[in-house]
Amino acid sequence: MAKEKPRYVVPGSLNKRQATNSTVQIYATLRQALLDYVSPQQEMLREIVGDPPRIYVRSAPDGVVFPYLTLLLSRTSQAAYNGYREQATLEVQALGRPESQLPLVETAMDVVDQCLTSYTNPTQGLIVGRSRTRSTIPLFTDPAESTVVGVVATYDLFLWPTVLTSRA
Amino acid sequence: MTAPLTGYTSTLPTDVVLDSGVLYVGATVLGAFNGGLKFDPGVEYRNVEFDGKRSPLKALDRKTGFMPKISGTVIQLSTTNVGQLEPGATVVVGGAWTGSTSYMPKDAAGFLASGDYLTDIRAVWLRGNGEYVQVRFPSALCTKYDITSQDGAEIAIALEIEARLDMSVSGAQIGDSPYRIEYLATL
Repeated sequence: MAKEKPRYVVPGSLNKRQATNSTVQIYATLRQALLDYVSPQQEMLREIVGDPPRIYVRSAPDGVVFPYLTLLLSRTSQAAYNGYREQATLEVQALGRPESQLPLVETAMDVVDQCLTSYTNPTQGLIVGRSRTRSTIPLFTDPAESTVVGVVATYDLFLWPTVLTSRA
Repeated sequence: MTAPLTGYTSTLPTDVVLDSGVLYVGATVLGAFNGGLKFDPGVEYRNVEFDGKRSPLKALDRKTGFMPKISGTVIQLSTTNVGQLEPGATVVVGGAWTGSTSYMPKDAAGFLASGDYLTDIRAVWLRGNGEYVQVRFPSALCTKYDITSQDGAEIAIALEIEARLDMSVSGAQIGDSPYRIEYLATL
């Protein structure tokens, strides 16, 4: 059996208190927000990504069950705010297989859209999200897996993370 | 190591005010805006002048007046909006004017009636803690607007709404402020 590749975030590592004291906490906060969000149509992401929730950072583990989501955060601190404020983009990928999971994947991303474009969290720092770009991944061809379907969205966030605002 | 000098405090996540805000007329949203709302209290001060004065002096300032104004750019024009933009306008049916609904702006001669004014104009902004801060004009008037259309985009109606002090309110004094800044837990 092949050894599983090393990962930045391993199972359980995101079960931290919601806050912005570290990058891992920021991921945990955003991930928990996605899991807690209930749409006006009473849709919840956890009904789509299962339990334990298949929302991973950067990439999914080997042998993952579809559909699942991955999160990838890029952050830029701004000199105009002494580096205390960050402009960030959160790339969310929702992937499904077989092709019949496309409606499920699109629905999952609709929930993510609703959550992260109206997101304000002032708990231990501040995270705000209001806008995004989104696209459905075109059909893969060989050698890629052609039955994989996916949606990729990039969310624009701004943060006042305590990991930066509490500098000595 | 010396940290940067900054105005950041730990209450910023709570006290920060977010987004462009919403304009209410009473309990009803006036409409969708392009961009934010601007509030200008229009306060005027006079520092009493005298011969030999070298600089403005403390305790010689007097607030001489207000011209509070909320401005912004709305992107819709419902029949309700016309009534809000045109104080005292009346609906005309038939005659020389056509249209299923035709608004005749108020004539330029007489005073506006009390009922022509807008009541409880509120520019409401979201605070970081999920509560709200608003500027409220208990009585107000749209004094200026213009309509600009554009190719392939929503219309742009730049409007200005000025506060008016309502002297019919019990206890109102001529020097009272015609606006309030209020904090709300809920809308």
